[in-house]
Amino acid sequence: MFKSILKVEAQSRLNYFKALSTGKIILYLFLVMILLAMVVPAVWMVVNLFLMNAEEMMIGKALVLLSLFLIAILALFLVNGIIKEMFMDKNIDSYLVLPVTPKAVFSVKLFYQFTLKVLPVVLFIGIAAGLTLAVRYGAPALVLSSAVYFLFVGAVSIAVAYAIVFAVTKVSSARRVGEVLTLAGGVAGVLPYFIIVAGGQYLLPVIEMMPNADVIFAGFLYNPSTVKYILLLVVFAAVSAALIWLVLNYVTDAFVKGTANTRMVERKKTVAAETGSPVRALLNKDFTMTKRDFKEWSAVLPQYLFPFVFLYLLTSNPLIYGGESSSDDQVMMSIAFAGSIMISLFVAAMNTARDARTYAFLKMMPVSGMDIAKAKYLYNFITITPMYILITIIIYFILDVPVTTLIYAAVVSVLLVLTVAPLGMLLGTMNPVVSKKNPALRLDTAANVIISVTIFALIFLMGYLTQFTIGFNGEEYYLKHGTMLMVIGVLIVLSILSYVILLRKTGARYDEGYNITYKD
Amino acid sequence: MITASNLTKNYGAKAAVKNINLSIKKGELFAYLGPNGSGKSTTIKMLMGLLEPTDGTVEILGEPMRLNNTELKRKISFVPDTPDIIGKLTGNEYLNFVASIYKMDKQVYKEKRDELVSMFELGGDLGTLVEEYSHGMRQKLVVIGALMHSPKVIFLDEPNVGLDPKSNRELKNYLTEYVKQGNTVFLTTHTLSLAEEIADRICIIYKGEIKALGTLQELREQAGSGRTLEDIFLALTDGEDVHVQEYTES
Repeated sequence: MFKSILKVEAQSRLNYFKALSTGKIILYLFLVMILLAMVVPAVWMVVNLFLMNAEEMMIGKALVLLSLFLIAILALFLVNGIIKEMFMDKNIDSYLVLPVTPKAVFSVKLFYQFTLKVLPVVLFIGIAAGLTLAVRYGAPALVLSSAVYFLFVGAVSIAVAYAIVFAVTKVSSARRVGEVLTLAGGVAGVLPYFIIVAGGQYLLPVIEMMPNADVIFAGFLYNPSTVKYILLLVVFAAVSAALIWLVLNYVTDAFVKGTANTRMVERKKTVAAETGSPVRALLNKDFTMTKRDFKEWSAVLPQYLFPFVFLYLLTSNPLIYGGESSSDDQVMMSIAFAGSIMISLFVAAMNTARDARTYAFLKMMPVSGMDIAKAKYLYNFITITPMYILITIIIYFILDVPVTTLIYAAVVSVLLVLTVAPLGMLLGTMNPVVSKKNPALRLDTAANVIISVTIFALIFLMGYLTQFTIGFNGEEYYLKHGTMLMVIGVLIVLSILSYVILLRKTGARYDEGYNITYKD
Repeated sequence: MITASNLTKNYGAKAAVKNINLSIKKGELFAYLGPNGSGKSTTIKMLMGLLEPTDGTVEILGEPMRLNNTELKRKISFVPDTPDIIGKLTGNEYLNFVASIYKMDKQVYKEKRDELVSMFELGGDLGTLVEEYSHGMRQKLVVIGALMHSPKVIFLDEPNVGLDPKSNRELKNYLTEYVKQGNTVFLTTHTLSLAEEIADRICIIYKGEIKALGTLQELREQAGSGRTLEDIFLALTDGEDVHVQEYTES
């Protein structure tokens, strides 16, 4: 029974990889290569250098930090998979109707979760740490104790992950938890940059803050003493097995008795009958969908981090910044131009392409394409502008610029949103993509290429124009008010033209119908 | 009320609907039957303007049906075969949205909504997100949304799938009364007893072609005494020899 389910699960995983497109296979291979060529040696090196040279008291503290870090990362990683696989896919239900015991089904699930998602990580860290300590203390047995200890960390991660899953699905639906985790994943995309930029310098103080774990670790993971070593080896192995056994029994019991599926049904109090204009109704619909869909946030929020990437690039590279031809005013204006173009183009395209999911429904309704386009335009303006003004204000506090520059930057950003968003909307109706598994995938390759090329062209053009807005009086840089007012005037005209021409074209696309690619 | 002339839809070399001619009168409940993949949904989508025909024309209420004819669309309604509605809205927000798009008067909307919601017993769930609804509840919500603005013509693509027996009965009674008031209903269903019970005329389509069209009585008379609609349907769609005039409308 166990073997047949194990085989089916293995086959289904194999089929998943067989069905991948060539593009995805290349991408995955590329990621594996990066992992093997860079991440694995880097982690090995850090663990090796630290454990070989650190004071003995610091080894215990570092192992505590490493364990906590692993539990947090592995548990979060597992939670997402558990939610999708065991609550949303209905995969469990299809197994449970077959003549198999529930325990056999969950044993297989747990086996794959542990062997595919936990074991490679904990075993690698365990061996890396164990080998280093074995060399340092001249005791090969430390490889075994380290491996057993990190397997215990893996078992704790599984237990914590299931505890989180059962706790959060009691207060919110599995679907909502999945959405929040997708958002967390989207935002976590910037973590590597943060760790690279700021991680190293804060690592040592954080390790020092950890509790001293010599009582447990000394004699077992380093500086071995025979009795403690054997005792703790048995204890950690037994506790790991007991944890897995407990998790298996609890999960089986929860699903069989149905307690795992007794989730909260979200219910709103107000059921008042309200009517308004079609544009207002469409606008409200978009706001409500955004407010309640964290996947939506994960699709657009990372775009808003780009101005800060620009700021980092402009202020950290001496070739771009720091010479005589640059000033904070210029940096501020460059970010206002480049950031607002990039964000409004991408976010407006993504927001518009989102309608592909409900396009068949909209088509049945007596609403004109122009009304849909107008509502979307307002939605884009209302959501993008405050975010960008907030970003501009944050950058104002980081840079040393007068308030006039802040006002100019804000005005220019608002006008650029009004000018560029209709172009983004038009591109969003170019063969949009609907993918239930990956909601951030909304634009096809052609639209992505067009948007990227347009962004580079516009940023290049705006960057070129920015230099005419800054003057140098021999002592300091200053903003040329006359030129700025002229730029603002041109942008006002462009925003009107954009509304009249591009928005109508978008409305016509809604009326005529457009092609939609359904990915899954 | 509904006129289709030489309606044809080809997908590449494959013809999904072949040269269909229909004329459905005011106050008529018209049942459009056929096995899976026979072209029912394709026909209904072309009639609604949701799918462009390869050939032929459609007129509803005397006007050519087009996707951007919002004034005409305001007078008609469609219940699709799959109730795919926006999951992140509550049932009430969905109905508010539909009422606004149809530009309904607030008071009229409130009255109609309350009447239909009570009829389908959905009142207690209006505050729940649609994504939490069962298939039947979604179906009820879509039907309420389609009926509440009192359209002159309503297209229902298998509306009774997922409905509980009581709601099914209520819908049946509502539609019967509705056509008596001079409105038109175009209905597709696999429940032959429903068509037998409430349809004024029945059309059977197979492989994109109309195989029979007439009142239940006419179909029975042509098929021979003692034949039920099920016998006629299975005979026509199984290739069995049956004496029903294959096409009765030009």
